[in-house]
Amino acid sequence: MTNKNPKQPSPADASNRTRKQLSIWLGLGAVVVLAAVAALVFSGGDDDSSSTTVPPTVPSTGGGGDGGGGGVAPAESQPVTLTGAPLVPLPESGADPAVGVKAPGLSGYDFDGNPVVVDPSQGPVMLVFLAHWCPHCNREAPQLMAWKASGDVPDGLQVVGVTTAVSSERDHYPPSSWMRDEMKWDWPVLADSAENEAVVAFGASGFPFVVILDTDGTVLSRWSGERGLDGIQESVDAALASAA
Amino acid sequence: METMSPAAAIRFFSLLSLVAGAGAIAVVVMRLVPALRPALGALRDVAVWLAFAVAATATLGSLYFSEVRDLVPCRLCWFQRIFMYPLAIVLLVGAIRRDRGVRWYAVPLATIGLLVSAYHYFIEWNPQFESDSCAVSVPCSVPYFREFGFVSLAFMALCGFAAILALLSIPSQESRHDEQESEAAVAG
Repeated sequence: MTNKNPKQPSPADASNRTRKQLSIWLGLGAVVVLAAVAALVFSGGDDDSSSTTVPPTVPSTGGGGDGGGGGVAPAESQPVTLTGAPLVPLPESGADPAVGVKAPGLSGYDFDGNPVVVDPSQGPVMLVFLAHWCPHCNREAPQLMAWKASGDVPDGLQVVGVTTAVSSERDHYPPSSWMRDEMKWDWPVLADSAENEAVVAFGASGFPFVVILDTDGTVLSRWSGERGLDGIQESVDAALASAA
Repeated sequence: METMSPAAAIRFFSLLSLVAGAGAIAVVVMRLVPALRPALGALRDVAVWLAFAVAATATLGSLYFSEVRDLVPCRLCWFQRIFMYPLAIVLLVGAIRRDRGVRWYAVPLATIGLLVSAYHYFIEWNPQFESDSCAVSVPCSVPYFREFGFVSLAFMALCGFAAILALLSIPSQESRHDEQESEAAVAG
């Protein structure tokens, strides 16, 4: 008859197993200690703030700034001035309830502290909200520049880039050099406030986020996400045609 | 941990996750290569405890980054938490009770967690597969950091789930005896 029970370990076997288990736990402890020592030693020269990050949280309410008037000091985020009611957030699908609604008035500063005023009365406005850390913005902004280079931008359309959701710990910081050197952006830029008031007031649902305003300041179209060269042209043409 | 700088903490958990990932690969290789199988003998009795240690470390690390360092978890991070946190409890109870059946509860959790982590890590490098825009608040496709150029939080979770699955794939002492007896019966 076969014995179904496992063989009883001898005291020597049991002692051997205990020793092995002990060495496993000691080894594991040594790995943890070594990892801690290595982390402390090899990150010693790092700036504390350089590896951890602050999420680019966007507040749920907008508000006014102290923008307008003369210049301010150069900075990656600048105060903005918003007038009028904020737009409702862009819905994920379906008709946009903000179309035909008067958009908030927006003014502020560029990275160098020079005043930037968004004035639809001078011609339709295309606001392009961009986040430097967003991979989709990093793909779409060059497409927008290619669109400009193509010469197909409708006459009289004022394009303004709005850099927002700035995080010093994320990729492609600072946004000033990101826009200038990496994206080669040569339309005017307005730097959103540190509290991201402008992008909230225009109801962004994602990045990149585009708002097209008619000459009376009402919303003609809003969208978020990449469109590519052809998509940008089609969307802008459709928005401007809807105003006619 | 409060005294550890953020940079050091990220490096510490990154190193631990690399050890876990390397360990998972080593266990899988030892399971697949018959000549190396005896080397797993030493791990047999402590595999569930080790799996618990991995799950507990991952849980504490996750809580450290969100509660101490204020890194808000993204949507996919939450899904991974849903599968990792219970593992710490289930594996602890299983280890204390020496319950061979703990694998039935832990393996499904770890497998689903592994798949979510793998997908999360994939879209971190290929954001266009998630959507065509970044979420305004906490986008899943934008990692908070990439230590050594590739270790993100999703990668850490991936290594943790893989290590747990690898450890749970090691037959227990009793299973091993059953296997040996079956082999002997077949041979006899």
